[in-house]
Amino acid sequence: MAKMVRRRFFSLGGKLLAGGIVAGTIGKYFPDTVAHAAPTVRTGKTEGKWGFVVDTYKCIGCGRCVKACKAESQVPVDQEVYRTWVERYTVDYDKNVKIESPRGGINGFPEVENRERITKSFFVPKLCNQCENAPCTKVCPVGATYTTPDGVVLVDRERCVGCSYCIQACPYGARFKHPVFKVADKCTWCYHRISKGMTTACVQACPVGARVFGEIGVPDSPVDKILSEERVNILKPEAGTMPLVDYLGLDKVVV
Amino acid sequence: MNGYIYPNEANVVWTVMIVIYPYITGLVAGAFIISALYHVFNQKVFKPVSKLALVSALSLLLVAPIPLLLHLSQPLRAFNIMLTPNPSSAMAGFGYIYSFYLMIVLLEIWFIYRKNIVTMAEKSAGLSKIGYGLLSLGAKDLSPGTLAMDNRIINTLAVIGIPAAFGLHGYVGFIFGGIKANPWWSSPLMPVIFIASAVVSGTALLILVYGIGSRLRKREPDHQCMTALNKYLWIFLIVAVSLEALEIVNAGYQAKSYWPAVYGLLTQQIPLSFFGIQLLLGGLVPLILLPAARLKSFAREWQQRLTMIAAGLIVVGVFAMRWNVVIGGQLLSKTGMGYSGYVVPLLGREGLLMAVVVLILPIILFSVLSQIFPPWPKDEAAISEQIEVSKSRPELRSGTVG
Amino acid sequence: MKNSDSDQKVKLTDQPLFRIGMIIAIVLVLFIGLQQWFIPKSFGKTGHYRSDNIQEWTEHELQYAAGSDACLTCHSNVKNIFLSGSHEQLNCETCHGPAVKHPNNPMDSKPSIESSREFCGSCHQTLTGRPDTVITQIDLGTHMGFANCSDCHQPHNPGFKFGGAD
Ligand code: HEC
Ligand code: HEC
Ligand code: HEC
Ligand code: HEC
Repeated sequence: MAKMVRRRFFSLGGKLLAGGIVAGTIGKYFPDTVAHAAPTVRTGKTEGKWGFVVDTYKCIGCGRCVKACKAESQVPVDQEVYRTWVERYTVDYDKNVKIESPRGGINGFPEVENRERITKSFFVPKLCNQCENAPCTKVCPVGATYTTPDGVVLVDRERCVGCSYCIQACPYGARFKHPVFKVADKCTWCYHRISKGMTTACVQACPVGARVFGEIGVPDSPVDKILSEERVNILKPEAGTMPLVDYLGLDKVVV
Repeated sequence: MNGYIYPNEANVVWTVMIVIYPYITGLVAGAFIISALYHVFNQKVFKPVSKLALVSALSLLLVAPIPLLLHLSQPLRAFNIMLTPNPSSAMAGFGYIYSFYLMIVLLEIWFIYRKNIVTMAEKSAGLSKIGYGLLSLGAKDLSPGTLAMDNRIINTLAVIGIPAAFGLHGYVGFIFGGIKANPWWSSPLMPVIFIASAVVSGTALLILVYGIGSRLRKREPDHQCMTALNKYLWIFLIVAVSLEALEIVNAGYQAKSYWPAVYGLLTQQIPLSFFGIQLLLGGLVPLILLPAARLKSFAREWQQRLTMIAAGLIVVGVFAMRWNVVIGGQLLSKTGMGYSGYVVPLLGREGLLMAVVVLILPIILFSVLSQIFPPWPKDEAAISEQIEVSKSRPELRSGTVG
Repeated sequence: MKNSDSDQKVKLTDQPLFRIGMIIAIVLVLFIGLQQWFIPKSFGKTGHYRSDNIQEWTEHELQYAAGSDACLTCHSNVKNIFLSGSHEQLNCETCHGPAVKHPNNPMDSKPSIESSREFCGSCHQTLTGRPDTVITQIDLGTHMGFANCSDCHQPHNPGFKFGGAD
């Protein structure tokens, strides 16, 4: 017993020592401060990682993806929480921008009031960006949310304490408190599907191919093809989060 | 709700409980700083409130985790924060920083009251004899050598306590200041502002507790002490208000992309609680009232009264400041194009009623704790003379104290 | 530990600092013990998280089948027309809803069938923001009165039945 206690003390000593070393390794937890000169560029290592492209030129705003997502991931349909949602942007003659997403776009969108005044309009589907430098995993006090080796950010439903700090930290509003499980929840890129070789529910439900998902770094991957040939953009590059979701045709008014 | 907010932002997730938490811990820090001024910086004038400060700090500190637990949607897992604290999370520090701080306060109280405890354990009978006996941990020695040692320990603890208090507040501020997703929070000034306003609110609360407590006990508060508290509070307030103003002025002057959204927040969403309560009532008015209260032309009684009014305003103002940070920051949508809404529900775990209960709890706790650890000096009238006599008598609460 | 001459009489174990120190030590030891006991086994193996959780997520229940191919094996009459029509790019479950359980148990769990005008309109109704380069749009209010879409269009091959696109 005494020995045990002593060992425990040693482990305390070890912990204190480790605490000292933390100062040295602190950079590990601030990757954006050390690793990247251009924070918006994906890091070199791509093999075995997933990629997601949203083509805003194609989205027709039918809301099938939102519906499919809620069904697949068992998020209550009647609650204002979404793992993915669709926004409509309309710009009129006076350059007024109007953004809307009635119930996340799950039932589509109503016609606008004065259609003839609209000069530019389009839909933008949103989902978790599975950021490489994810602010949400960084702030989780208990290590309940993390990035898997293949680059997907998940929430451990058994460890989440429900403090909502990650919800605050996400610049994209992609996280929410799950009304049933009472833990933080978010898009997992249908981790249970992609790990079985299927595609995500939203990609599968999209009638027009506005969402493309696949591995990156493999030759015939559709995502890779777009990423290497098209001009893509990411949301909120200034946040330095390095999202893995790339957008085609992103307008400057998109928030 | 107006403008466009992300669909997931419809529910404000950090509710009034998260307003109360930093508010309560803030009050702790201030009380603690005053006690440190007495023990470390030898500000003898604070003697009448040095114990009071500690006991009220303890009653607040014990309540501080309650709003957090009420807010967690998985409160039973709260201990995870001690088990697997994430080193990259500002919030993960809570468990350890709080425990450390609590330990310091408990130790300080124990050492300060040890003489008291031991005498009580010897003189009283029945339950309280057993209770005090246990509290004394059997260390019943009151020889001058041991007492001198106690004093050294108390001073050391008070010295450690200052960085601990700053650490606790710096970290609470950083929880907000480190969130780059929220332009109203994200600022390196945030931890400093939190420390400053914590000290301000705590000092103000101490003035109120001392003032009101003395009145309730039909005693006159020690005037020198009140004046000194008034002066310190004024200086702390100048620092706090100018930092808060600086923050806004800087953001407005730089006018970065998010400024219109923040401006809209301040002028349309929370103008009353920001300009009206936080800055005017809780800042500028006390800034004038406090020095005014020291004017010789006022009678003693009125000087104290004005000081207490100013302190009351500050305590309210700092609550508004916490509200404006916590709730205001969430009203501001991450889209920068709209604002969500928040109304405190009356009932429920995070409702108004519960909030009132949480805010009253420290008062109840204080009245219980002050039975065990008598915080009031034995006779205020004689306090000023006592200051010179550095060795004070054991302040026993015999049956006739009242 | 003897700091001054006066406390020679006091035993070390009776000194307040020692007593309180013991309490702190006991609490610390208890805490570290509890910590070791309660931290899940797989925590910290691959990072600051419970790595078993990755496996748990992969086992999450499916709602949608793997794709149209999973349906066409049985529904050969649909297959015959579907693959040559302009809805070919659509997934069966986009219109019929989640149906992963249906193939195993076709009689008991049937996918939903929606065939209202509004249902087709959710994709085909003219709408601000909807690109007409991507999808043909009609106005539900004026396109062929109130008749059901499937009276004239076969949903699985929607070219106009009587000599349209097909
Ligand atoms: C194992 C063979 C099988 C597979 C695979 C299968 N089905 Fe079926 N399906 C059936 C049978 C059998 C029926 C029942 C026909 C009947 O009721 O007359 C049926 C009926 C249906 C119906 C009509 C339900 C109704 O209410 O009449 C729909 C729609 C349907 N299937 C869609 C699908 C979809 C979508 C898939 C792919 C996920 C699919 N099926 C896969 C065998 C299959
Ligand atoms: C555009 C949406 C749409 C798609 C895509 C679609 N269906 Fe249907 N399906 C319908 C509608 C609408 C009906 C009801 C037809 C009616 O009322 O006459 C229907 C009816 C059916 C039926 C039952 C009646 C019948 O016609 O045999 C089956 C079986 C069926 N679908 C299978 C499939 C399968 C398998 C696929 C995928 C290859 C598929 N559907 C894709 C809209 C669709
Ligand atoms: C989930 C979205 C979706 C739904 C629901 C849907 N369609 Fe389609 N439909 C499409 C797409 C995508 C195309 C192919 C692109 C195009 O319009 O040329 C298409 C093509 C068509 C065409 C052929 C247009 C052409 O010029 O070749 C017709 C006709 C049609 N749909 C009718 C219907 C009818 C009738 C229904 C209701 C039973 C329906 N659609 C439901 C998405 C949908
Ligand atoms: C009375 C028969 C009839 C009904 C009912 C009907 N359609 Fe059509 N639809 C037609 C004919 C005929 C055409 C082809 C002539 C044309 O291009 O206008 C057509 C064409 C279309 C086209 C292609 C338009 C284009 O410009 O190529 C779409 C899409 C379409 N219909 C959708 C629908 C939908 C959705 C409904 C249900 C709300 C519906 N139709 C109901 C007869 C019908």
